[in-house]
Amino acid sequence: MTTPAVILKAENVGYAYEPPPGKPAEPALIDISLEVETGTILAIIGPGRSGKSTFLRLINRLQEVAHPGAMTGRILLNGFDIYSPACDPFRLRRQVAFAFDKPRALEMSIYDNVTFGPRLAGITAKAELDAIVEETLRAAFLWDEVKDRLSLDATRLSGGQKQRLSIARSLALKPKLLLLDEPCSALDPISTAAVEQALTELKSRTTCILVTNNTKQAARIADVTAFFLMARLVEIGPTARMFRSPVDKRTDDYLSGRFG
Amino acid sequence: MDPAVRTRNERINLLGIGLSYLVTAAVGLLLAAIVGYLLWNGWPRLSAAFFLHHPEDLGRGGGILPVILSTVLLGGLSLLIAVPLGVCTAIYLTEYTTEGRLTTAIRFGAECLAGIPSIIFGLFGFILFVVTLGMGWSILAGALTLACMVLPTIIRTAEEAIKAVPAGLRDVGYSLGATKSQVVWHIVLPEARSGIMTGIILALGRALGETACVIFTTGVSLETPISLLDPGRPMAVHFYILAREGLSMEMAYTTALTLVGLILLVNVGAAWLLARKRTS
Repeated sequence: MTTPAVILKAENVGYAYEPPPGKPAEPALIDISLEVETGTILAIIGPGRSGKSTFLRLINRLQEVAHPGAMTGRILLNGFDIYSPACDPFRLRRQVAFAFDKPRALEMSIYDNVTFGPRLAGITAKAELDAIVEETLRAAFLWDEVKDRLSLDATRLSGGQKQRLSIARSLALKPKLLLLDEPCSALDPISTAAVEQALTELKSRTTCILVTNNTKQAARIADVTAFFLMARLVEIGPTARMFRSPVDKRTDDYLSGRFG
Repeated sequence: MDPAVRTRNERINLLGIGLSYLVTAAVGLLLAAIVGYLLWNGWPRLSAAFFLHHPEDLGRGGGILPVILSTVLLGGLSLLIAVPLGVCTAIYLTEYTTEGRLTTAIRFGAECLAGIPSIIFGLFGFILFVVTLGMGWSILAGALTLACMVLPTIIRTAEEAIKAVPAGLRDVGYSLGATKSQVVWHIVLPEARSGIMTGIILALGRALGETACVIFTTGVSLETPISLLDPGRPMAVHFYILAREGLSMEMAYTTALTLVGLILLVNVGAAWLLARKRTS
């Protein structure tokens, strides 16, 4: 048996937001090391302010755009250090896509929303863009609902549709890795089910890292689950094993609802 | 609860509602009174000929074609100058700098500029554009002066509109590989469009109705301006001179009515454009 390829590797990652003047820096992440295998879904669970979203935003270097802070350790994408000077963050973000917690449609048509990334990347051929639109909207389970009105202003879609549009938009660049930050936190159960179905079918071609506050969601769709608590990685392992017999007492307490 | 207390609260509530209706009605009435007065005095002389003919006998008769032309040229040109400057300043202040001494200074400067009486702008424009730069009394000098005057309004409203764009939308842009300028151009500006437009309309309204600023810089010529270096006479100035010199109150009212109509047209047009953009 061949060992599965590791797509993402975090080595002793630490992070601290730039503190207000005169105050000491408080770490948001301490010594996180983990590996993600190609073609799997990793769920990161944990209570609020555990550093889950910060960790996610470090993986495509989105964190540095809006928040000054200091990072230590290394993050390797297919063995390439994404924080080395040789890495262009704008190119990186095309390979490592991101879907946000709030469904956000850009103020343009559905078609233009999906093709926004490819057009920035220089794809202009109509046929190619058409193909991307159909393929990604199908992958995000939105095609049947919008195929006849692709020129409609995307801001008029429902919340669940917008969230699937966001996923389609992220997929349009054919990313190697898709990061999802609580993608269902603003959705109803039916829309959530649609998004989850999309994700499980997606993993054959795109590896996913999913941050979620909903432990049951992790249990439903993740292959591997990691538990973050107070800036630290407490435990990581196959989802079934984590939920059946967690090693760490804190994981057990969190999963059985004794805190969080 | 004690029923007596409840009826007392209800009475206070009723009084509040009644008062707010009254105040709203008073404001509406004031507006209606002004427009009604203008209509009453200006309507009889209003005709197609009034728009299409040249003034006769210093404005006592004929139409106001050159005056309309001067007004439109001044308004359009001043926006052409002030909008790019103002919107770019707003983008710089909100997107490209962190809050510091420089931004405070620029904002303070803009605020001071907004508080300066327009006659001072007129004097400044006269000295700088008309005399020092040798433009003479001209549409160009007037438009530049008007641009200085409306710049703070445009900066302020555009800044507020850009600030109101949720940070999450910018993140979406960055997450798709956009650079900062692409995020500003493709995401922030379209989202802030209606707010920026409101500021531009406000500015245009002020520019079209301005008197003191342009009387020193564009002059009072009743000739048709052929080039931007020609002098002219915008509507507000025409109205002022007709009334001040006692030439013809009727023509003055008709000019004022035309000006109010033009500003109304601009407002309705902008609202229609924005609505159409949203639904298409």
